[in-house]
Order: sequence, then structure tokens, then C-alpha cells
Amino acid sequence: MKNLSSLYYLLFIITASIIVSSCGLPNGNFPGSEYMPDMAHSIAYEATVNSYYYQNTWGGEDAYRLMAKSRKPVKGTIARGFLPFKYQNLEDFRTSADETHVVLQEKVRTLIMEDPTIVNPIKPTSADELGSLLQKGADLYSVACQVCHGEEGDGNGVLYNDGNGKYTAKPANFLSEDFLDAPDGQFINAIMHGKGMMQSHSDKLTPDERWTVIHYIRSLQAVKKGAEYNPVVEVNVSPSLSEPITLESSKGNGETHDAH
Amino acid sequence: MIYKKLFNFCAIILIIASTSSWVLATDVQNGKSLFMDKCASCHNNSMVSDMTGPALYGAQDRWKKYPGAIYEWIRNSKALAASGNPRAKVMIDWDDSEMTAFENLEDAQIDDILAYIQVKGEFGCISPPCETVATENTNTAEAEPTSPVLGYVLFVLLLLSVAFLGRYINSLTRLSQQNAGQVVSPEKSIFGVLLNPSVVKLLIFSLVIFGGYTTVNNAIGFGRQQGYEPTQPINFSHKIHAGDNGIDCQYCHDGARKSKHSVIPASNTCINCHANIQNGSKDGTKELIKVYAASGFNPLNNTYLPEDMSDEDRAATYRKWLKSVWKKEWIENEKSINRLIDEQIASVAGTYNKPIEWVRIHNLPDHVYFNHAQHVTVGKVKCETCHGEVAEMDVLKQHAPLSMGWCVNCHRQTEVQFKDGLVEGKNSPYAGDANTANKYYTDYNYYEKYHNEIKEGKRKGVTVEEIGGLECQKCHY
Repeated sequence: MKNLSSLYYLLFIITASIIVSSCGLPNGNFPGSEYMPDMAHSIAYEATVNSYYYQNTWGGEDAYRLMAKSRKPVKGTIARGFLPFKYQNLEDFRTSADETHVVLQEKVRTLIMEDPTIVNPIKPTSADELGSLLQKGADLYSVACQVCHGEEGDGNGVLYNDGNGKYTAKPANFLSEDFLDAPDGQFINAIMHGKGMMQSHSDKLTPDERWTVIHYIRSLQAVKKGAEYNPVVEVNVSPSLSEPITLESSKGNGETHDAH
Repeated sequence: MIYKKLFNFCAIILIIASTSSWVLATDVQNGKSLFMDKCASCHNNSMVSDMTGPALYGAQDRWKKYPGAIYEWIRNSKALAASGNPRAKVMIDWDDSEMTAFENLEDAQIDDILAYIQVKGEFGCISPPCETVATENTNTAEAEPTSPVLGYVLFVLLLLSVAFLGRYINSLTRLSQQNAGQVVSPEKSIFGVLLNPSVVKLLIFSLVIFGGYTTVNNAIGFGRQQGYEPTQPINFSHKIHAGDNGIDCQYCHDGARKSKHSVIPASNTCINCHANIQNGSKDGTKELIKVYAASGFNPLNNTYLPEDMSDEDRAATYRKWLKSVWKKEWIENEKSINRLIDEQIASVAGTYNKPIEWVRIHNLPDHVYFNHAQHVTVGKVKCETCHGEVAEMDVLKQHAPLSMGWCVNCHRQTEVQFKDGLVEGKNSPYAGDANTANKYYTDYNYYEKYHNEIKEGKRKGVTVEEIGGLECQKCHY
């Protein structure tokens, strides 16, 4: 009898160690074991997470997928920083009922490119502000544009590389004569709707970011022209401000700032 | 006499041949620079596939019927179509966008461009034989992983020598006992040695230590996914895109700078480049067709297919595209290319216009809050700090444990940008060279104490911990 119980004991130890050792570490396609998984997984929807999980007992996977996919915003609402563009509604520019959607689209894009009233809405009011704006623009440019359009904006990025790269279409050269004097509309149209082989980058850059990048491209062009890029506009400062902002007072670019 | 004639003849032939080849060379060089300047933004530099404008290889032959018309066409395509040239009338409807008029181009210049097109389209470069652009292979320097075999061999040798030595000592003892006339102790068998109580105790002790160590280690690893390396629905290589091509991480993961999530990019992000690059360097069209099918992009004419298009029509479109990509190979080996096309079309069946189901790798438990924008934009932490050398991974793997200890450790060691520049010798997690101070820390009164201490030389920098980076509610609420 004593022998038998020790046999059971041995069996218990073997099963227990098999169970424990099966909780292996993650590798390859196995994400690893979990302890109390219901504390780790969100029942609420999370972006880029497939949280279809066993405690979602209210419906099958199809029902979950239907609910979890991204939805359009409520009609009539405008997200912050996404004010509609002048040319947002194509139908405003329809002149005849025969125009197909594609033709209308092409027409409006030409209008945007040639419209002289489209100007950069971001207007820095001091040299300091311009500095940080261009810094931000440089960061965005290096993220979103540089691979194709090149570090200096000469249309010779790493991907094109003088026609020897993987990308076989020549990216636009911002330093060429066509672009040096081009209206802002030409740039914003290319960013929003694409041009030639370039695809729309509306989802990559918010409206503010688009104009910040255009500021930076203009500053690259100014370097090429040998001129100083100076879009700073003086604004009428309301008398309630104790310290009027002038170009002189904000020239201390790079010095440490006093606490306001 | 006849020899002289023959010699003259040969000389003339030689001169003509050499000059003509010399002329050709200059033609093509000049044509290349003209093509790059004027044509390359709409016509594919590979000459054999379409882009905004059609593929140009063989254009001269196609216009042969109408001598001289090709020059007119390049100078002003619209005027030629209006004048009633039948080919021009057809070609003007090739695409919605019309060809730019190049009225200043001379006949000789157009000849140069056409010569370049012919040579490039036929051989793939200007001067055959073409050199394939050698991809830098740094694998040679890669160290061989140290194999554990040598260690095992040494261990076994050690054990054997211990056994032999023990045996030898045992025999010697018994011999001396025999010589001294004492009672000879019996020879111990190997089992006798192993079942010796002290040996058994030692074995059990080491087993408990080893078992406990692995159990605790594995238990700590529960719910963590360090080393997770799943197969993705598309064989996407970060090494090719972020490493070889140098595309910025944030180009595709565009949420990282402005939101909580770094975002798995939508498939139109792929199209931004792959509208042009239609043949992958590693998998050819096998993986790219999956992206086109998911996004509904039509690679034949750079548009998206209408949403209500049937699956059969979509398959037909992609079949047409595959045929155009593999045109050259198809002529040589019709059977195998047909099979390849069939396989690839079959592989995307049922995925048309459906999102690609990438497998998310980095998962934090629901009770932890983590924000990418705070770390990437404000803290200026490099992506590689947490995600490892992604630019060298073909298949993405989770680099960091993403455990709380790991988070806390970094918050203790990392300095925030309290002043311009960093303390020397600190391992900087910041991206970019401009280590300018964060205005929040310089302008906010609350931090005056730290600024004074830095000025007095009492401290060199301020870590995340010291501005409250270890408060529980920062991440758990």
C-alpha cells in the first residue's frame, strides 16, 4: 500500500511538471502563455487590436467585426484642425450635367493649382516662431517627403537616385524653375490629391502639417535663390498685451527663456 | 592593286563603324539627360511598363507608318490629333491627362531621346552588358554563433576523467590495504557510488534549484511576449523598406507622432510607392498582388478600381497586370509563367477590398496606458530604443520585454530635455541632433528649483523619475 501511494506521488509530480513546462516562452508564432488573461485584454474596442475574445459572448465573430470596424464621423461634425477646404465640394464647380466625376475632379484640381488666392494660412509673427515652424517642417519633410524628393528638394531622393534607384518615376524637383515661382496651390494640390505618379498624402499629413511642410520647401527654394526666407508678418497687437511682440524683442533666438 | 582597294575599303568601313558607334554613344548619353529632364516624371524609366504615360520602348516602330509624325507628336500632341493623324487620335485618349507640349525640342534632340529609349528598353541600361546594382552584403562580417557542442564534449571528458581518477584512487587504496595486511574494503560499483546518500542529496538539491529557477523565470514571463515573431499575412520585410530603402519609420507608422497608437498603416500607404514599383526585389509580384487586391488599386493605370466591381473582374484586371509584368519571361517560358500567374491569382481569391489582417506584435495589458506621441514627439525617443534594430529584421520580432521593470528602469535612467544639449557620457535616447530644451521645462515656474540646482552645479540633469515619471497613476488609472 505504501508503495502504491508513492507511485501516485510520482505520477502527480510528472503530470504537474508537464503542465507547468507546457507554459513555454513566446517564440515564432506562439505569443506565450498568459495568467489570468481577462485582466490583460480589453473588452472595449481598441485601435489595431483584434479583441475578439472569449468573454465577448454577445455575438459571433461576424457581429464583432461589424461593430469593431472604423466608422465615419457623425454627419455635420468637423474634426478639430480639419476645416473644409475651399474646393472640398466638387459639385460647387460643376458647369454641366454631362461632366463625369473624373473630369470634374481633374477640372477642380487644375483650378486649385492655378488659384492665386490659395496662400499659406500659417503666418509666423516673429523670427522665433518662424524658426520653430521651419524646424517642425524639416522634421515632417524628412519623414514624409525626403525619400523621393531628396534632402535638398532637388527631386533626387534615395529611392530615385538619378534613375538608378528602385523608383522609376522622377520625383518633382522643387528647385527647378517650374516650382520656384509656382503658386502655393500647386504644392497643396499635389499633397492632397497626388500628381502624376505621386499618390495622395492627405492621410499622412494634417492640414496644418501640409502647410508647415510647404513653408519648409519654400525655405529650401530660398536657399537655392540665395535669398532669405522671410514670411514673417507683423500683426497689430491688441493693447491688452503688456509686452508688444516686435521683431526686435524676439530676436533672442536660442537664448534661454525667462518664465512667463 | 586589289589589296590596296581592299585595304581602303576596310579602312573606310572601320572609320564609319567607329564613328557611328561614337556618334551613337554621345546620342544616347545626351538622350538620357534629356529624358531625365523632360520625360521621366511621366514615362517609366524602365521603358517597358506604363506609368502616367505609356511605356516608350518600341515607340518608333509604332509610329513608323507616319514618317515624321512622332516629332510633331512630341512637340504638340494636341495639335497633331486635331490635324487628323489617325494614330494621334487614338493615343490622345490613352489617358485623361494629356502630354505636355515640348515645342522647343529639335529633331536631333528627339532622335537622341528615341535612341536612349531604344537602348534602355532593349538592354536595361545604356552600355550592355548591364551591371546589376550590387546590393551591399554585410553578412560576411556576421559572427558564427558559438556552438554549445564544444562545451558538452568538455563536460563529458571531465566526467570521464573524474570516474577514471576515482577508480584509480580506489584501486590504489585497496592495493595499499592489501600490502598492509588490512581487511580489503569491497570494490564499489558505479551504482554504489551514485546511490551514495550524499550524492543523491546533492542531485536533489541541484534539481530543486534548477527547477525553481526555470519555474520562476517562466512564471514571470507569463503574459509577456518578448521574442514573439509571428508570420504575417504578407511577407513584408522591414529590412528592405526601413533598412535598404531608408524610409522613415514614421512615414508608414504616421500615428506615432500624433496619437496614442503608432498605427498599423492602411494599405494605401503601400500604394504610395508601389504604384510605381510593381515588381518586388525579393518576392516579385507574389506579395504585391495581395496589397493591390486588398486596397483595390489598379496598377495598370494608376487608379483605384470602382467599389462595386465583381471579384471576377478584379481577378481579370490583376491577371492582365501580371501578364504585362512578366511579358519578357512569358515569351521564353509560357507554361511556368502561366502557372505562376494562376497561383498568384488564386492566392488572393476572397481578399478583394478587405483589410489586410496583420498580426499585432506589441501588446500591453489593458491596465497599462502607453502613449506613442508622448514618447516620440515630446520625449524624442528613437523608435529603436524600444523596438530594437527593426531595420535589420526581415520578420519583425518583439525586442523588449515590455515589462513594468523595463519601463521603470528607462524612466529612472533617461534624462528629459531640461536644457539645451545633453550631459556628456549619457547614452542619449533622443533622435536628431538638435537637442534643444523642451519649452515646457524651461518656461514653467514649477521647475525653477531644478534649474537653480543645475546652475549651482548640484545636479547635471533631470530624469523622467524626478518630474514624476514613476507616479502610479501616470500609467495605471
